[in-house]
Amino acid sequence: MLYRIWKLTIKELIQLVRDRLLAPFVLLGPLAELLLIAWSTSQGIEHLPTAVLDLDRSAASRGMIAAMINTETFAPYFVETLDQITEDIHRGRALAAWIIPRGFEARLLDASGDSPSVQVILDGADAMAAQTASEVAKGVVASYGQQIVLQSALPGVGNPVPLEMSLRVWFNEEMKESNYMIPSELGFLAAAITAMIASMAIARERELGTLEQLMVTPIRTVELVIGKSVIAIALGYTEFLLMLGLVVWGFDVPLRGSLPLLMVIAFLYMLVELGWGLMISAVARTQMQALLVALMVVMVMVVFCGYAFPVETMPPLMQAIANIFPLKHWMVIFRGILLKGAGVDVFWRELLTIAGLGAVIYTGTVLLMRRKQLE
Amino acid sequence: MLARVNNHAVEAVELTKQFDRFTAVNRVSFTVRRGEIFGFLGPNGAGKTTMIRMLLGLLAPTSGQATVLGFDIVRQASEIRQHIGYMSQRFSLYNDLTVAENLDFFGGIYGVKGKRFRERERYVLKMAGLQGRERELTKNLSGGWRQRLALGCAILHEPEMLFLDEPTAGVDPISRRRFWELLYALSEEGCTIFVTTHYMDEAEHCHRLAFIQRGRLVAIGSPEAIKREKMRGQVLEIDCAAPQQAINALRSMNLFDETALYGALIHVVAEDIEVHRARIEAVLREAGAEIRSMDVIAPSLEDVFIASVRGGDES
Repeated sequence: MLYRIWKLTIKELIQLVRDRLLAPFVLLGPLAELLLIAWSTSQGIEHLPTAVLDLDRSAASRGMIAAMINTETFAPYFVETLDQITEDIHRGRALAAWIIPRGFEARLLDASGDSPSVQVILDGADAMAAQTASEVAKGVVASYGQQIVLQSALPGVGNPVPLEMSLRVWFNEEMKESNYMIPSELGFLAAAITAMIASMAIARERELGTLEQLMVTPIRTVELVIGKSVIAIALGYTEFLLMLGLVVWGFDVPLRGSLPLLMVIAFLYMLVELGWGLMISAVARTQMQALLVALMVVMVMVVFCGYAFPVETMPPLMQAIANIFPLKHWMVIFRGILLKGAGVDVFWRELLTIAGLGAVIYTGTVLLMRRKQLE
Repeated sequence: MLARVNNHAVEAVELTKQFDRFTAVNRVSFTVRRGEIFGFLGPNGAGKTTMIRMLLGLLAPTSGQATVLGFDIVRQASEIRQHIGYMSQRFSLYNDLTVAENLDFFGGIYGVKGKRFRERERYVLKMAGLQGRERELTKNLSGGWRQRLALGCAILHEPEMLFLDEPTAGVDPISRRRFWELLYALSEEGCTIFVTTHYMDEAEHCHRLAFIQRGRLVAIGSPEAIKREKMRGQVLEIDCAAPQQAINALRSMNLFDETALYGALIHVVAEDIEVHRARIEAVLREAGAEIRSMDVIAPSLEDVFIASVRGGDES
């Protein structure tokens, strides 16, 4: 039995090496994508072009503006009128605007009267930037002890936000977007690669007509599945390790938890993702079909699992559905190990869920394959 | 090792396969004896490939039973696999592998290793005429070579029986003849060969034949026996000018079981054909088709097949 699996694996390897399109795509594609994401987010939210309308022109207002510049989040330039602000934001020339009204300093110094206010306008079209910027703005203003009214540039989204006196961001102090995005990216890529390769593996034999020939030989279904999987897992896991190395050493994403633990859990997670890739493979008639279906599933997973948008902001039904995707639980574990130094005692629930989902998926795959064989 | 229930190569009893409302194989029974070349003949869609797939355990029969090499096709399918080789209708070796890599793979799958493998590999390469070409990519081989390679991969493990589904489709006549010589050699060594084809001339090479039409068994026996039993009437072969006009004229006579064009020759089939000779000559002369020769010939399998298929249609 092992001999046959060995022969099958060798064959797969030869075919992969000879496939001049697939091999480089599989090896370089994920790395390239990761590099792109890492680079574009490693800057954090910095130097947002900000239109500043200082109607007070006092020492206090200048002090406020200086504080704003110090955060490096806002890159101010000065305008003369409100209309200019509106126009610049609409045109996208400014991503934020600060308006310091007349009488700002006076009201600041008069303890008995109304508190002064500063208006900060943010372009909500880029939700992540806006979120970060608003937190920074709040921080700046908090140090002045003022009450501010925040408005988002998109209609209907804005609502007054109470002032937070002590704002401290945990675990991602620099609020580096990359620390959030990159683990997401890695988790997603690891899943996608393994599953996509696996989904095409058996479909290819079916498409070329060689599957029938294989079924007539003494090779058993289990052996076929394992032989196909070995290459998929080997590739996916190597990619994962490469990308992890790149991210930790190249982009300074912290690795605060246990590396061996991460490696073991990552391997188990990939086995699970491999499972549904194989399930698609069992029914797809051509490689293209398999790849497209796998891609579609990956897209759906990515939306549901907090890759682009935090899970907590989604309607409860969607959050519930997200639980059937192993990716969601893996993200929690992965980020936990990377950023929080968490151990199994923290995420054992997610681990069990992944294992359970894996069992369901593999059972489904085997049943599906058996049913497809003898119709 | 599970026991074999009989010593036939194949024994099929009332084998039936139904897809929804379409019956592909309809209560077909036959026996294939050890060491013979057994041909399964029929037009496209007659059920030949369905039959082979059932015998190989790729498709479950709707009803009926069969054994291959004494093993039940449903319950002991995995036993059968070690002892048979298969060439499918569609070329199914790996095009992106070399000749040697394909042999290596299939040898390994069948458990042929080490010294035995090297001997078998040498034998197969010689038989296929591919010595020296081991490192060529399979996709670069032309039709005849590929078929021989596929046959080679199927016999590496010295199977007791071979199943070939239209093995010479799309192959030139010289390669076809060479292929059949190989099959004869294998048969002489004791290998049973089950082959489907719609080439009539190949059917003549088989020891025994079965005619299949629309899922039903229409005739079974040796080629000579079938010709004797199934042929109604005699065949008159006419060589004349303007065959197309001649055919139309002959058909309008409405006298014959069969009037067909065989290349540039015309075959006219009827009982007691000599009786009509004079009238045929007259009609052809009128049609302006100068007769070069007109002889009663021994029926070919094609004549027999068309006749019995016609008979099947009518009944």
